Amino acid sequence: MPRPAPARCPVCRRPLAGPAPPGAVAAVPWRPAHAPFCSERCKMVDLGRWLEGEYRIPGEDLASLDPSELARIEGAARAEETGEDVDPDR
Amino acid sequence: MTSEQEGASAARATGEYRADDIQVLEGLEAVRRRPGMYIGDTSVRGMHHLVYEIVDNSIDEAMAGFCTTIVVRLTADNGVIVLDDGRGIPTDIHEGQGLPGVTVAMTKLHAGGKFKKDVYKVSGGLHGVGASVVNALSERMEVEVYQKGHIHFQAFQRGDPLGPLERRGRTERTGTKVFFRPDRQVFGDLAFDANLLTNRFRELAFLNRGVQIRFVDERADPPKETSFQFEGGIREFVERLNKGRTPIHEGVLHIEREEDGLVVEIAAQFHDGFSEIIQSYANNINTIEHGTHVTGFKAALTTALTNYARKHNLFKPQDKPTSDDFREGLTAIVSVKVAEPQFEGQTKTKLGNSEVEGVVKKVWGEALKTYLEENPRAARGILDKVHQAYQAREAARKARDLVRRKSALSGGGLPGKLADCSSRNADETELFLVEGDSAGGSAKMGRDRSRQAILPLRGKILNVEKARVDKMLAHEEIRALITAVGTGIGAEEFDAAKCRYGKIIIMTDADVDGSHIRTLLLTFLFRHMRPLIDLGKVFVAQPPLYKLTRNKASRYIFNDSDLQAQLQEMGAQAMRLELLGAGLSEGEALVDATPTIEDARLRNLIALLGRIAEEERPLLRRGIALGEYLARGHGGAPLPAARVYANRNPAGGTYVRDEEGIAEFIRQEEALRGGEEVSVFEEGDENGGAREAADVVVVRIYEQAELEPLARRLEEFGVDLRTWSAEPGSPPRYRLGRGELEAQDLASLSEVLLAVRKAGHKGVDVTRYKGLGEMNDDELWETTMDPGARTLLRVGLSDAAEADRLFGLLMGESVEPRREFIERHAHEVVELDV
Repeated sequence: MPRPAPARCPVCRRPLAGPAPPGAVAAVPWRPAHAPFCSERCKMVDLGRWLEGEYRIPGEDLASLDPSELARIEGAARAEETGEDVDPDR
Repeated sequence: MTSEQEGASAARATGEYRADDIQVLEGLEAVRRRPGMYIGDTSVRGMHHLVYEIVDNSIDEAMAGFCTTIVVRLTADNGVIVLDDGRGIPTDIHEGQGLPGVTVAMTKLHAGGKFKKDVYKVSGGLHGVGASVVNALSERMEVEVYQKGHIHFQAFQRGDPLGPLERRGRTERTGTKVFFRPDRQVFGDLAFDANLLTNRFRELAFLNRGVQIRFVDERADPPKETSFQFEGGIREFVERLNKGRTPIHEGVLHIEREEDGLVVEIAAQFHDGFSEIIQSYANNINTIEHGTHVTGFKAALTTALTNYARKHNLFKPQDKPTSDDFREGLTAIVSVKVAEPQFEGQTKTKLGNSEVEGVVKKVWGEALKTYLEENPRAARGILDKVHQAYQAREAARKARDLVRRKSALSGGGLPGKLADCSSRNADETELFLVEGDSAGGSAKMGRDRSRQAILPLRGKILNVEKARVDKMLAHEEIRALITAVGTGIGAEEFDAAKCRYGKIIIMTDADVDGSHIRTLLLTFLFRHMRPLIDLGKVFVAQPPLYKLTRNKASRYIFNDSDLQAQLQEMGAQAMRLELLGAGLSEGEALVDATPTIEDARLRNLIALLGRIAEEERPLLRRGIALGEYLARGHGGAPLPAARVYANRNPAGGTYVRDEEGIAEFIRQEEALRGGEEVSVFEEGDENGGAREAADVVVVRIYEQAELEPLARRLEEFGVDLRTWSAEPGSPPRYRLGRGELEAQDLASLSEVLLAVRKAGHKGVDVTRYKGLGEMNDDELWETTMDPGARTLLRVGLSDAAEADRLFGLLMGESVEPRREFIERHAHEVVELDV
C-alpha cells in the first residue's frame, strides 16, 4: 500500500503526530478526546460546518449525465429550493 | 514656583540632580507602626517589595538615560545590596530640610525625585513610597553615593541615621550603592526567594530595553549569578513567550510612541494556537488586573481588524465576531509609562488613569492600520484566524442550542421523521439510518417495531450553478441524527452512555450516491461521535446486490465476487475439462490418456481461476497484464514482487523478485548515469504525483502475496501458468465439455473461466438491485434487516478513518486529482471493506 501521509487535523491541517522535520515546530500532540482534530476548538469549527451545510460532495458534471437523469435531478433540486418534500426517486 | 520650575528644567537639561529636587511631604514615624499600609503586608510579598523599591530607583535612572548596569546581591546574612552606575542620589544640602538630599530621601516619608514630575518624567514604584520606607523597615541600611570624585557614606538603623553623611575616600565612578537588611522585628525569619527575584529582574530587563541587571545570590555556594539584558526589549519578550508556537505572521509588531506626556510601548504577535496572552505594565508594574491601557489596546485591535476585514471583504455580512475572537492566539505586551499612575482594584494592580485609554487606542490603532495595509499576507492570516475563532464559537453555540432545544421539548424532541421502536432497552435496540425516503418507507413497513427504529436521511442535492450536482447532508438531517442517537454533541454534552440504541446501522444503496451518503455519515460519526465507533456500536448493513432465480428458487447475492462464484458453480456442474497436450506443465510425461478434470476437482479449479481473475483489474490499473505476470511463476518460480522501469526507457522495464531486486535495478541505473543519484517514484503514491519527473518508477505488486499460493495450487492441477491468456490463433490447450456434443476447444485459462460463467448464466434470471427502494418491505426485511438472516459489518476505527480520508479527497479543492482518485478507486468505494 502507499505509505500513509501523516495524519493532519481536518480543520487547520496541522500534522497531528510524528517527528517534525528539523527546524520545524513540533507536531500538535495527539489527544484522543479531540481526535481526529488537534483541539476542541477545531472540532467545534468542524461541527459548525456540518450544521451550516458547508460539507458537500461534488457530483458529476451535468453535461456527462443522460437527459432523463438530468431531469430527475433538476426536479429534485427545484423541489429542494421550493421547500417541497418530494422524493427524487419518484 | 516659577523659579523652581525653571531650576528644575535647567537641572534636567544638564542632567544635574540636586537636593532641592527632593520634595518632603510627610514624616516617617507611621511606617514602622503600620508597615502594611506602605508595602502591602509583612509577608514574603511585602519583604520582596523592599528590594523592588530600591531597584526601581535605579531603573528610574536607567529610564532617564543615566544608568546602564544594575547589580543586585543577596548576602549570606539575608541582606541586599543594590548597586547602579547612575548619577548618584544628590548629596548637596536640601534647602527646605537643611540636610543632604540623600539623607532626606532615606529618612523622610514621601521624599524623592519621583514625586516631582520634572525630575523623572515617569517612574516606577508601586506606591512610590521610596527608599525611606525600606530604611524604616530595615534593621540596618547603608548608602554609598559615588559623586563628583568622592564616596559619600551614611548608615542607618531602623530609619534613624547612625551619623551624618560623610566622605570616605575618592572615586572616579558615579552611582549609588544601597545595602539593607530587613528588620526581623517586622518580618521575622523570612528569607528572600531567588526565583521570585529572578523573574522580576527578567521582567524589568525586558521592559527597560538595554539595561543590564545582574543578580548574584551569595547565599549559594558558589554564588549563583544570573544576568539579564535584552536589546530587543518587549519585542524579545513576545518572541520568548511564543517560543515553540507557529506564528501567523513574520516578526513581532512593535510600537513605541510618546504622546501627551505618556510613553506607550506595545509588542504583539499572533500564533496558530488558541490561548490569549496579554501582559500589561504601567511604570514597570505588572498590572495583573489590566486597566485603561489594555482597554484601549483591545478596542483599537478590534476596530483596526474589523475595518480592514470590511474593506477587503474578508467577512460575510452575517459574520459577527466578538472582541474575544480577535484575540485568539494573540501574545502581547502593553507597557505604558504615566506621570501619575492611579492603581485600583483588589490588589492595586489595575491602571485607572482614564486619559491613558484614548492615547493607547489612537497610537496602537494607527500603527496597526498601517501594518495591515502594508502586510496583506499577515493581515489575511490574522483575519483567517479571527474567522475560525468566530466559527468555533458559533458552532459551540449552535451545538448548545441544539441540545437545549431537545431537552426543552423533552421526549417530544425526537425528529419527526424517526420511526422509533417500542423497546427502551438499549441492549437490544437498533437504529437504521436509511438513505432516501422511499427506502425509509419500506424499512418502516418491514422492520421489527419493538426493537428496530428507522431514521430516513436524504443527501440533499444541490445544483451548483447548473454545472454540477453536489451532495450534502442538510442541517435538519444532521440535527435529526444527533437527536435520534441521543448522545448530545460537543465536548461538554456528548455522552456515549446516553446512546438510545445498541446498534447504529447505516443502510445505503450500493451505488455511487449511496457510497457518498455512507462516507458522509461515517465521517460525521468518526469526527463527532467517535466513542460509538470505539464501542463497536456502528455497523453497515449489507443489502443484496442481485437476486438469482432458477427453477422458481431465488437466492440473494451480496457482492460481485459472490455472483461470479455462484455462476461458476452452476456452470461447472456436469462439466469436464480436458488438458490437451500443450496444456501440460513442462517435464510432465505425456501419457496416453489426456488428463481430465471433473466434478469437485473442476469446481475447485474454476473457483481458483475466479479468485485469480479478481486480481486482473487492480493489476491492470497499474499497467500490469495478469497473463504476462503469471507466466513469470511458471514451473514453481516465485512470482515477482515489483516491476521497475527507467523513465527514459519505459519499454525496458523488468520484473524483480523482491526489495533487493529493486535496489539492484536502481544501482544499475545509477551506474549507467555515471554514479549520479536517481530519483524514484513509487506508483500509487498519492502524495507524489511526480511520476514523469522521476528517473525510476517502481510499481509494487501487492497482489503477489495473494497470487503466489494460488499460482502454486494451479500448477498442482497440472495446468501451465503461461496459458492464462493467449494470442488470437493460438493452438487449443483445453477442451471444455458437458457430454461430447457441447465440447469446445479453448486456448487459455481465462477463456475457460468465461465459458464456464456463460454456461452458468443459462436458465438463470439475474436481477440487479440498483437501490434499496427496488425491494419491497418483505424483501428488505429478509435480506437486510432480519437479525436471523442478515449480515452486518461492524465499522472499526480504521474503516471510519478511511472514510474520513476518502471524504477529504472527495471534498478536495482541485477537481482533477479527485476525479482520478474516484475513478481509480471506484471499485473500493462501492465495496468499502468494512
